[in-house]
Amino acid sequence: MENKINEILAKAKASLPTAKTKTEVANLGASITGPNGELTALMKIIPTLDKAERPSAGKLINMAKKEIEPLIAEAYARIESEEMASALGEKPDISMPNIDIQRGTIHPLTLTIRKICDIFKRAGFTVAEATNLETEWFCFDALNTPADHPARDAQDTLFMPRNTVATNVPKHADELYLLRSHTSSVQIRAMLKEGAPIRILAPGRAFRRDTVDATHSANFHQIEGLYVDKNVRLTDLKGALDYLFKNLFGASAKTRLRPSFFPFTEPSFEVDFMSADLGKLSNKWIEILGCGMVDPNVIRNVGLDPEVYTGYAFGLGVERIAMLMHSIDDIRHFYANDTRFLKQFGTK
Amino acid sequence: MKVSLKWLNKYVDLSDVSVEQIADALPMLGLEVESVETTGMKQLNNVVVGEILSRDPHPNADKLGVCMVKVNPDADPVQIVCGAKNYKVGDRVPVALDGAKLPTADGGIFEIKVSQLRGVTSNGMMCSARELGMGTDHSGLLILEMRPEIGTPINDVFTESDTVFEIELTANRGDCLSHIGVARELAAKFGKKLKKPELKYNPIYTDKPTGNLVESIESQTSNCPLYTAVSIKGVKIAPSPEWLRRDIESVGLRSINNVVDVTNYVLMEYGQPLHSFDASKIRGKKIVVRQAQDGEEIQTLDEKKYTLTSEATLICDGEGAVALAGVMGGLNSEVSADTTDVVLESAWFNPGNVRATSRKYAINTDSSYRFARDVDPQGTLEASRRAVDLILETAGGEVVAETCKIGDLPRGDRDIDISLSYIIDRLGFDVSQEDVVNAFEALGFPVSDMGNGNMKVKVPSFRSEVDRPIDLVEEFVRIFGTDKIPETDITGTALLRDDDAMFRYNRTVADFLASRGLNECQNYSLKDSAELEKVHENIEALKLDNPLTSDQNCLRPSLLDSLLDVVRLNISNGNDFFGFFENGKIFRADNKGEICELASTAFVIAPDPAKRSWKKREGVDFFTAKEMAFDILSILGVDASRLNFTPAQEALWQADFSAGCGSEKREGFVIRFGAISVAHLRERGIERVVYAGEIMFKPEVSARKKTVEKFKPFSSFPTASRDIAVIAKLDEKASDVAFEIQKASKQKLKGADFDVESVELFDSYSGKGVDEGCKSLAFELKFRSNERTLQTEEVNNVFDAICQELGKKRKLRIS
Repeated sequence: MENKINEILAKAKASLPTAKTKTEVANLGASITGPNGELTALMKIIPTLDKAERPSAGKLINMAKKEIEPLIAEAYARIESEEMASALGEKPDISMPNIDIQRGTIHPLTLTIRKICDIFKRAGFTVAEATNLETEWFCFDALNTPADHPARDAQDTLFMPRNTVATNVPKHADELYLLRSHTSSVQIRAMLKEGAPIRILAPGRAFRRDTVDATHSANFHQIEGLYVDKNVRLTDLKGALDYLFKNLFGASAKTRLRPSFFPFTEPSFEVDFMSADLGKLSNKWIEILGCGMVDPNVIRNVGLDPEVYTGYAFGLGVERIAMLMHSIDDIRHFYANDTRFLKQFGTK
Repeated sequence: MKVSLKWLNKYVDLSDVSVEQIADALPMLGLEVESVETTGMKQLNNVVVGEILSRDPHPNADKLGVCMVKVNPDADPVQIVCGAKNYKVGDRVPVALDGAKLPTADGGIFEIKVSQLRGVTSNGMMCSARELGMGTDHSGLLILEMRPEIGTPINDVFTESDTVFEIELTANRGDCLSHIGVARELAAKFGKKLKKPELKYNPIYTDKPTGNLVESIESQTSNCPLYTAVSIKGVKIAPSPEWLRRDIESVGLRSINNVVDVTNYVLMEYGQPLHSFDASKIRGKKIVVRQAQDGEEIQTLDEKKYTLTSEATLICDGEGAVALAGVMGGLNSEVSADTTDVVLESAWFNPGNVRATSRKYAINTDSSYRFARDVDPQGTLEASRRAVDLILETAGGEVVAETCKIGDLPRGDRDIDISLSYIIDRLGFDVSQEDVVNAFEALGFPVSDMGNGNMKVKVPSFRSEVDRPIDLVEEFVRIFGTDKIPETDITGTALLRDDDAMFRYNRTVADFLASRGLNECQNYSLKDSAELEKVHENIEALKLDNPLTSDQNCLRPSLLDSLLDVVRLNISNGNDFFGFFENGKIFRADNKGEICELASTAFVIAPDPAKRSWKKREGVDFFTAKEMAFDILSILGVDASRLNFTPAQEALWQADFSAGCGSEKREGFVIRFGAISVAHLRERGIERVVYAGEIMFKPEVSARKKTVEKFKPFSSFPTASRDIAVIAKLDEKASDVAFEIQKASKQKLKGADFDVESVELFDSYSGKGVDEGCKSLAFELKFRSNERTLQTEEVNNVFDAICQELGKKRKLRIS
């Protein structure tokens, strides 16, 4: 009996670890511990043995069984692991190129807008939106730009026909619709809706009747900034601009305010900035945006009291900043959307 | 506008101020400098006139020549290597000899030494104008056409030196369109005194013409509130004296004759346009200022004819127009060589009217430019007196009568009350009253101290736009210097406001689409209506009233047109890409023609199907576009699973391979996705399939309040799943069949303590084993209880009942 058991054990130890398939394991298992298995057969002959031998025989069979069962389980586990590992396929050459779709790109103008909005968001500026279609009153009159002002020349502004009705662009009176020539019109919409204090950025498209060339485009992007509150002063404007340019172009960036003229600000300035890190343009004053203290007439036009509220406003050209930041030499690249251009930005 | 430094020096002594200091100061005063040109030259030693005696090719350099140049009449010629091309043997040119120090463009010095140029000795350099520091001409040697003597020091040839600033002015600074105006600013900046010309002629003003050159003057229009005329008899028309010719030529004007040059001189001096008429050509001895009649004609000095409308203002004589007021004189009344009597006009015309006329007829003159920017009414009188002085000085003659002055100054000096505390409040930093007073007085604004920091500031008539205390703050900052504004941190009260919902949506959706492999684009908002109407058969192009070009004459109704152009461009440029998207505004009109500005997100997917790869992946199809559209909708806050999609009807989309739903009026959004029509792609020159989608919505949709999700507890027990295949007609919608199964399940599970959790399509098959015209749709039904593990038998019972119910209407294949 003992020999017989040892024989079975030896056979199990030899065959189970080398079994190739689960069926093979099942068959081996059945041939030993199954109803017709060899151990089961031995079990069946126990009653025929001498009374004295029976306990030890039973014990031996049970021990053998206990020894074989883990072997079967192990064999199953080994084969299952092998099966799963084979799903990995062939061993890869890790230097081979990827085959799935790469991450796409965000347009450099969008990235520039985000960057500036993020910088100002830390200072409490939030984004306001308004339509691209505007009316003369919001784009000019309310911004203290009277009807005979040069900026209102039809040569510069794109108008809609007289009979246009735009359902989601409310008019002030019976003025003409146009495509906004600057994002400054958002100042008016926002202040009329939200009153003061207000601190907003308005990124978006503006339109001029310009011939397309390396630096002009029929539509372009601006970001308008506006802060109106009690006691907003010229030093606050200068502080905001320094903050922006140090964050955009590094701590060495400097700004200067050059007196200028915009109908909707008084005093008005062009801002030049200088940075040590701009390649050929390093350490030169570069004209970058227009700004000023909100003209009291504008404050009055949105129903606020200019004796109580003062503010500053600025408008910057997104294309211009993006071109400076990335040394892009032609504005038309932004609107051609060649992937060799698009993939250069925001992917690192 | 050009301003001559030599000329400026007549009104302010700038002899101790360098050109660079002036060029730096002007922009900081608000006068932008476009260019600085220096004519004449600085003292240059060892630069003399030389004559080129011969030129031989350089033995070692094709582009160089070896010249023998005579630079001293009493010595041998010297050898000079030269790269210029524009000279010939015999020309006289400036020659910089050993030791000469030439100015360089960046302000440095370039010293000339005897040197070897490619192995040939060169004893100096022949110079261009730029190399001598005279302007920017560097196209070749400066050929001295006047042939000065050989050896003459170059400073004896070019004795005069001047610097001309080209200044770009903002619309508010009409006062600086003159040398006196610019001189006033520089005087204020550099703490100097402004010296205006001394006026000798002291007229008596009458409101009717006296003398006999003109008998009646009348202004019939509010566009000319002030008109003056003075008569000068017996002038002798001749070329201008040298100083006058030089001055007006230095600012780019052409010298004509003494009288005309004087009016131009005073124009550039005072900024006041004047006009001189030949008195003998004023018919009927009568001057009338009036609006033109519609259709009235005038021929201007430049011999062009214009047909006018009543908006134009005219100066007329007894018979008709003699000048287009403030814009240009008429050909019929100009001063010519045989003129002896002159009527000198100085007037103030309404700026808006002059601008409109100048724009309408596209006549831009020095005169219209200044009138349009509001000239100084007081200057009207001063300039006239100055011109009289200069005409008498240069052309002789005598004033025959009083100056006739019709109307009144439309603007005089005005007082503005301002306090020091107001100024400090607006600035945010401390300044003293002394600083303030100094700045205003430097500008020519007298200040009266009213005590306690209060001041009364008198703004002279030449400053048209300084009317309010805030305007004075600007004037103060300009003169005080913006560089003195102290550095401060950015500050502000806390405002609890969030970014606009559209901005947040755009950001999220762009990040999502980029992460799916698409590249964001920016395309023009303006399109070609002819192109659009070909593509969008049901959309009327929204045309601009005044487009610049026909290819940008209307508003875009969709973002897809441009995105398809981007696909074509990138294919033709051989670029590898997966697809593109854009977020932007589009414009659509409803059936009443009323425009709505919509926000839109559109995408195109068009990877190269022939792209080779060492391992092939599944390509893209309709469902790639569908998933992307659904995900965009979910970012927008719209539950796409509740929408009822129908085939897209527009020709842009491929029939049977596209779908859409929504209307901007009802839901506030319109959705389309699927394959772009193959016919359309071929027309565009795109030879591969493009899947696309566009979600167009009213911006307020992005701001709709999202409900806060409430947690729904879920079962911790396992599911039991059963598969069922339903035979359906080929054109039947899978979603309808799924709905039938749902309905049957709900019905059969009524009262049970478990539910069907999902009915999910996992196979669609037609072909062998399925009837012709039919398909087999296989669904997996998952059952689950919240309380317990389901028993096989109870699931079987319910599943059988569901199958029976479905089997009443449909053929099933149960596995």
